[in-house]
Parts: sequence; C-alpha cells; structure tokens
Amino acid sequence: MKTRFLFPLGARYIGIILLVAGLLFNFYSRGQGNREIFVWQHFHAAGQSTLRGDGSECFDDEIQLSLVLIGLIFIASSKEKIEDEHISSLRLESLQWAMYVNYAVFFILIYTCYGLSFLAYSFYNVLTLLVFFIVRFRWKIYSLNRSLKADAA
Amino acid sequence: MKNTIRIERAIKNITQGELAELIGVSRQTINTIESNRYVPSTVLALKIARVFSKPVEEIFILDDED
Repeated sequence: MKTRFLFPLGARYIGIILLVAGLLFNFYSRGQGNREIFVWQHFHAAGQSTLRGDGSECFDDEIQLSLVLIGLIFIASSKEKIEDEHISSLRLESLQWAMYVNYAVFFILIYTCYGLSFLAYSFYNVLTLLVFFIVRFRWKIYSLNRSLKADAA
Repeated sequence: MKNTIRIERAIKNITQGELAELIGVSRQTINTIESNRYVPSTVLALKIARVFSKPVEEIFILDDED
C-alpha cells in the first residue's frame, strides 16, 4: 500500500531520542543556579520587547521546544513495520479521537482554569494533541498485537 | 459482513501469516478481517479472493445488519 506524508520506520527512534533530549534539557534548565547554555550576546531582534537588559537572548527554551516538537512529530508520523490499510484506518481514527480529547480538556479548562495557569496550559495544548494521538495509536497497536497472541493461544 | 476466509485458508492449507504475506498486509489485519473486526477495502477483498481463486462474493457475504 502506498502511503503519503509518513516518515520511514527509523524516524520513530530518532523522534524518541530527540524527545528525550528535549525533556532532559528542559529538566536541566529548571534546576538551581544559572543554567543557560545557548546565549546569544548582542542579540538585536526587530520589534522584540522581551529582551533582557544586556541585549542578550537565551535560546535554551526555543531549542527544547523544537526538540520536543520534532520528536513528537517523528514518533507520531513514522511508518509501522507493515503499513497497510488497517493501520491507516487506526491512525486516522486515533487522530480524530485525540482531537476530541484535546479540545474536551481545553474546553473544561476554559471554565476551571484562570490567569497564568490557563496560559500555561494553552502552551502545553500545542503539544497535547500529538501526545494524545501517540498514546491512543500505540495503545491500539498494542491491543491488536495482544488479540493476535490471544487468538493464537 | 461475514467472510469465509478461515474456511478457505483451511482448504488451501495456509496460515494467517502466509495469507498476509501473499497480499502484502500484516498478520494482524488478516486476523481482524477473519474475526469481523475490520472490513477490508475493495482492493484488499479482491486480492484475498484472487489468492483463493474465487469470486469475491463467495468469500465476503453481506450481513442482515449491512
């Protein structure tokens, strides 16, 4: 079966490495003390008002978000070992399910979460669609393999 | 939709894995089709019928619910 818009199987493993790297980097940055690594001195961004007083800009958070995002996209959009129409239908179904769950959570938060915490979740909401999709799709593949083993037994 | 894949496989004496390999899908897919948990596309149904050298209607039969 011809598939479009999917990365090869190996992309999943690259994705896992990027995701873990991004999360570890983020975990490191949250620690005590000055833990900035990628700092651009004399950074002059046009129209930016959030630059620090000394004109430098720390790119750690940009790099972390990029690693996590690319990692999640690679994991979510890599081919299975045998990519057939059943897998495709599971993929689409999982994506739809993830969309509903993602916005259901967001909808609940509109009424239960205010101020900065709402803003913080809105930021994570960019990534949760992919996370929900990956969890649901992997679970479906896992159940499929388990049912096959149960039938064989 | 019901199907007679299990019977046809027994006649031809091939496993789910062998049938899967012949038509280029995973064993899981054959397993879910056989147990009526997944309805295959026309292309896949025709490929399965071709393996058993039978018309597709002899392998896939419409149910009352369809």
